[in-house]
Amino acid sequence: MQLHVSTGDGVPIYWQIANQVKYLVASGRLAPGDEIPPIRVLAHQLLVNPNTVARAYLELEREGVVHKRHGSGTYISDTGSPLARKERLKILSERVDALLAEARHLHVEPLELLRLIKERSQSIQPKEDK
Amino acid sequence: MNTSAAPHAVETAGLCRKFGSKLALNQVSLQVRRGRVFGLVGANGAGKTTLIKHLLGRLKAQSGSVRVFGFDPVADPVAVLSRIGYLSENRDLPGWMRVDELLRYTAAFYPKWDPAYAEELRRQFGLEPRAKIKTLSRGENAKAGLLIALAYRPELLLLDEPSSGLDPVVRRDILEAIIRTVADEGRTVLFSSHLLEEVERVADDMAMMFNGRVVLAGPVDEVKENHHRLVLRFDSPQSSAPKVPGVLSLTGGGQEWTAICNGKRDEAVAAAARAGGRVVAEGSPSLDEIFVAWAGAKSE
Amino acid sequence: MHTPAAALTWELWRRHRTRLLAIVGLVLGFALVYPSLCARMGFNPSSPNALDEFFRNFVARKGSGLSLLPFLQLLYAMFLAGGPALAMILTLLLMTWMFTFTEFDPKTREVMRFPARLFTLPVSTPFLFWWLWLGGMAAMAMLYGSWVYFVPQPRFFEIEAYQNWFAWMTFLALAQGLAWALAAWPNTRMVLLLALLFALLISPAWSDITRSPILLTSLFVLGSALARVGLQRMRHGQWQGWTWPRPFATLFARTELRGPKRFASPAQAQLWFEWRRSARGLCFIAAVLAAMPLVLYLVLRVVTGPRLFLRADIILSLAGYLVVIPLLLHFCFSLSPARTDVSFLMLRPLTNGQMMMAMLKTAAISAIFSWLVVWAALAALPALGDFGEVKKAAPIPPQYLTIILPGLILVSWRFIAVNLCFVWSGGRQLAGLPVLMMVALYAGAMALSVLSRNPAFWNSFWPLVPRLLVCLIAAKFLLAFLAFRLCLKCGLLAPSAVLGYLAVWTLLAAALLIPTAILLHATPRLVPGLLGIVLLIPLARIGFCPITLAWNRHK
Repeated sequence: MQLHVSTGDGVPIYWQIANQVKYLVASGRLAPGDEIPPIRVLAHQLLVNPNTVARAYLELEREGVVHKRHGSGTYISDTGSPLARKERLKILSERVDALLAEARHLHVEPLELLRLIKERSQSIQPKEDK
Repeated sequence: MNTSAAPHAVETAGLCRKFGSKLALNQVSLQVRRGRVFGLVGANGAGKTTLIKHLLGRLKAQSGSVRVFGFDPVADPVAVLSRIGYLSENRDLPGWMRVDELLRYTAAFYPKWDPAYAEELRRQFGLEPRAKIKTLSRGENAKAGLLIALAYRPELLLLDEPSSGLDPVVRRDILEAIIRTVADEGRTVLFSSHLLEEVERVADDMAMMFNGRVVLAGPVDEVKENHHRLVLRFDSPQSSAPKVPGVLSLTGGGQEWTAICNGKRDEAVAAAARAGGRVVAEGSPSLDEIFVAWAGAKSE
Repeated sequence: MHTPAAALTWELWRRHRTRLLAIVGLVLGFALVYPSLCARMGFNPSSPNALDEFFRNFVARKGSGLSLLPFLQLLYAMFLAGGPALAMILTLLLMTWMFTFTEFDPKTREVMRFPARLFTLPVSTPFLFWWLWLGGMAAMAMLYGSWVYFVPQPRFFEIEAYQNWFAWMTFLALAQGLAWALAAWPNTRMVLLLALLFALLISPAWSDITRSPILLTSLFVLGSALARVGLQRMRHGQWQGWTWPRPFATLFARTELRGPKRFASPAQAQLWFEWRRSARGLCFIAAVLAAMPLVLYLVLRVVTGPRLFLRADIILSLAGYLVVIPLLLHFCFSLSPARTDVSFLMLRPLTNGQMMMAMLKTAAISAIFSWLVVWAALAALPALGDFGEVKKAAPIPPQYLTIILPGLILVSWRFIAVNLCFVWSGGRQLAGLPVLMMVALYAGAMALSVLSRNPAFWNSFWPLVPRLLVCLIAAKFLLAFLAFRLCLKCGLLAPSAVLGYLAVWTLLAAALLIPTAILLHATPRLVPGLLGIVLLIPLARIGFCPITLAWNRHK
């Protein structure tokens, strides 16, 4: 699992880690049931504080992206997230608000934005899907 | 009693230090919790090295107190020094010693010295055992110093600007050492640095010093969450930085100015509105920007 | 400062301001005071027989046994006879060093380095060379001239140093040449410079060289050429030092005693540290210096044949040279201020007492070893030549050797032991205090000998000496008591350590007092002698050592 963190752009490191893991899952590079490295190992690899990695893993666990298995490691969950659909949509709606605000600043119409979303969704979809 | 029961690794209370007429440390009170990485940040001459020298017992507290694992470094130097692994930015290893002699000599002072671990580190750092220390390059010298500070797994790893003047490879080794230390149970790291990028990466808690005072202290995440970067747009071009109370620093030119504020975001926005500006963008500043903002604020 | 020459002159002045003023002060001092000092003693330096007369008087008054008054007068006479010459030689050597323009390099902390920043200035190498060379020659000539013309020279024996001003110019040229050409070979340079010094001051061969103008001129030209080329090469980094593996270094490294794999305790590790840092070097230098004349003799013998039998005066000077080696080495070492090693040491979990003990033990080891080597060399001397002069000059009955030999070891060790408290205080000036103390003592002895011309004073003073010594010893014990009590109170020394010191002190004192009492029991000089020995054995300053060390360690 290759992650890349950068300091100095204002995004907390644990947030970057969590996001990148989610991106890897979404793009299929991490399949359900794959093991992600233990906290110590990832901390060493990225040269960040283990507590930061722990916080990222906690975040991922809370969102149901990963789960711990009897203390023997952390694994990617099946796509059936334990979170209810309502909660999942609530998380996403906050992101949508931020995206809409940004688009307004940049004078991009919502319709154009929808077209962009469709485009991007097709490009990151794994090849087996239609 | 081998490990003391003190809750904090390092505790200073009201520490003051004067050199002649210059006040180097002004009522410095810090607590470094065990098992965490503590980053000490400050400009040159802010008092970081002076503080660290107090921890090592090289300076005696003129007022206030210093305790390392509950011991006073001046009254009980052996108890304190046998628990600390220290790497300074001045390489003062004896130049006439060879690397293997340095290891053998240092091993005699620390009962917990692990020869296998020392050998593994030596090989990993690529240090020739028969090389004389005065022939080592700057990076190898730093690695040798780090080696003898790590090999006995000290309870407190104390680094004074460890990365100064070193290439990225050696800097990685140092960061790895910091992470490895804290990943083992209960061991603490305190390091002072100018490279705020490193502090952001590996530090749990931090303190920022200016002119001998601690202006900020707390967990790194909290510090970053408390600071906000606002881009303000004023109605008319400003020739000099407009006075916006509640804001640490204001940089920019013309109509758009970037403000960094600490905690009081809403007040700052209101004050900016009163001065004729509105927020057009918002974000989280990096530690570097926070540091520069504080430096600017303190110099006024 | 409008020109580079003015700027460089200002820099020289600024760096050596105190030294230059001291030189001028010395010349003036001798010029003004020396004649009246001689007159007081009835000593006429311009008479060629002055020294013979004095020695005759001295031997007549000495009688048998040890006596203080003629000894003091001997000290005084030594000063009168040799003082101006010694001062002249020292000032000329100092001037030479100033014009090689080397300085103590803070980076390596050991080597005398020509300042590289001069090479980054827009001045040409010929300019630098001519300025230093001409300046040096002019300064040496002026200094030599002032010594010769303003201070009356003793004429009772020929002092080589006075003979030839051109010889001193040659010396400067050679010194500059060696200092600059061999900048990349610091150890070799040091050895050669010392050899040059030895040749100038001690060896009888110097007079042969200075009498021959051709030889002298060629040496002068050689030195100047070497200096010019050396400066150029130094500037452009063309001579890099040993680029092939040095045979001695690798041989030495391979055959050296490895030492224990693991040190049994911090005290043992610290002992090893002090041994490796300084004592090993001291012993090595002592051995080399002591062996050098013997090796030279063997070489000469191989060259000239088995009939080589050295003259009595050469044997005498060799004996004197050998005896001085350990004393001078230990004295010079004791003055060296604490180097960076101390800041490394202060961060080890090592108590002050342990640091001190390690230093004292290694000083004892080096003192014993260097004296053993010197005595072995001295014992070999009779085989080299006519030993008779030595026996006549120092008529020591063999039984006195039991006091003198341990006494000399003690004195060498003492140099280091008593200066530790100054060296470790961290003040660079403080480390040089012993020199001042010696000068003060010598001046005191001289003042005493002037006063002793008055017999009434002397007769009332002499009985006071034992009482004076008792007071001094009492003061020393009081100081020691205060120092150790402070150490115990502040926890700087464990009570067992204090008892240990006291035990060693008692043993040392007993080892010297008992033979002295046995040997001198017949003479009336017994009591002052015993008291002098007790005064000599150091206690008070050793007690202060942990205090100054703690003060330096926890500023």
